[in-house]
Amino acid sequence: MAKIVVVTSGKGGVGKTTTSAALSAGLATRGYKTCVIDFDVGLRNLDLIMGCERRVIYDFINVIHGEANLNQALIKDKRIDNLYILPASQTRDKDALTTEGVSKVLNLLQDKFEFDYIICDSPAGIEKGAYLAMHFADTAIVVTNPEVSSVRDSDRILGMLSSRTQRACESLEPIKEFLLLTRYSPERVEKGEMLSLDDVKDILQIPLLGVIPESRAVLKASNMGVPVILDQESDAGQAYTDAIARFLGEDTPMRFVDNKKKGLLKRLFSTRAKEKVTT
Amino acid sequence: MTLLARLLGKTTVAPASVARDRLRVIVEQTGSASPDYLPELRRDILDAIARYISIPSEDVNVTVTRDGNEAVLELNVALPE
Repeated sequence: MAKIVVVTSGKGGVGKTTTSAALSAGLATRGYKTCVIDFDVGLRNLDLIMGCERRVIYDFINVIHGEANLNQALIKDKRIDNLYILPASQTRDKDALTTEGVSKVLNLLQDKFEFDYIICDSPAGIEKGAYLAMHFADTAIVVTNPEVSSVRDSDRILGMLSSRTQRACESLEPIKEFLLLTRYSPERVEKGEMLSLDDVKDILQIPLLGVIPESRAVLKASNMGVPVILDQESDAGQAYTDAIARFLGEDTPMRFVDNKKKGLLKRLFSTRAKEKVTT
Repeated sequence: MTLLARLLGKTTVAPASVARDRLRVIVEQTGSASPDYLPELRRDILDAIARYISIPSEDVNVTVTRDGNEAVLELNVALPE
């Protein structure tokens, strides 16, 4: 039975789609048959981040309304086996999503297509799109920036997760919640300019899945339409790989959370330079 | 491009220009300046072509460009060899 994972945040622009792309690409690379669904009806962007925007013919809403079948709408990734993208509609709005429709599509993906993981890329906000993206989830990844408004919105989303999901409404085993802290800058934390990892963990009180450092690689990856996790030379790509290992239950040490200390050479040179100035 | 890269004669494509080109294609296809029947038209054309030959969906481009009072519907189909 496929695990349904929602990537959510409340606030926009914190990295939900970047995370959905990285997570789905990472899980598929590890051999799991994975489908990633764009729930941002009317403002679809996952196709751009995944680099398949020119291959979209039918979408999630077409399938819900019976205008196309899932086979026609699912886009198979060209780089990674086992990875499929279900794009959102660009011309409709979120009211085109219905609980029954979403449930029907998720059931088909689980039973007929036998996916291992279904990743739901939630839109920002707390309205219908975000609500339906989380409603059927088994696990939630709450993407948060170390910034006041993002942390408050994440807290609001945690409230929704524990009261409005199917698991909550039917008193089933509660949804598993994980924190993914993105755009983290240890240097700015050390200077006292940014909320620290411990601050955010302390406020939100959910287990930490990973910390993704602020990275130039993310913009580059979205420019090119390649999930950033495929850029394994980048810090962000490596941090996502670590987060996925933890998601799969592996014990992986946290990287990119401490400010890089200057190397011995650099320190020697900088003290020498200072000495020169003083002498 | 850095001086060193230029001296070495490396011609790497800047990510920003890839982004610009990708956006141009999709904004032309579905942008606010183009009518909303375009995606459906593209779908119908694809279906019609698929009855005769099989081609990947990204090889069919339907765009509307405006030039003053005139609008031009351009259909571009790349046939496989």
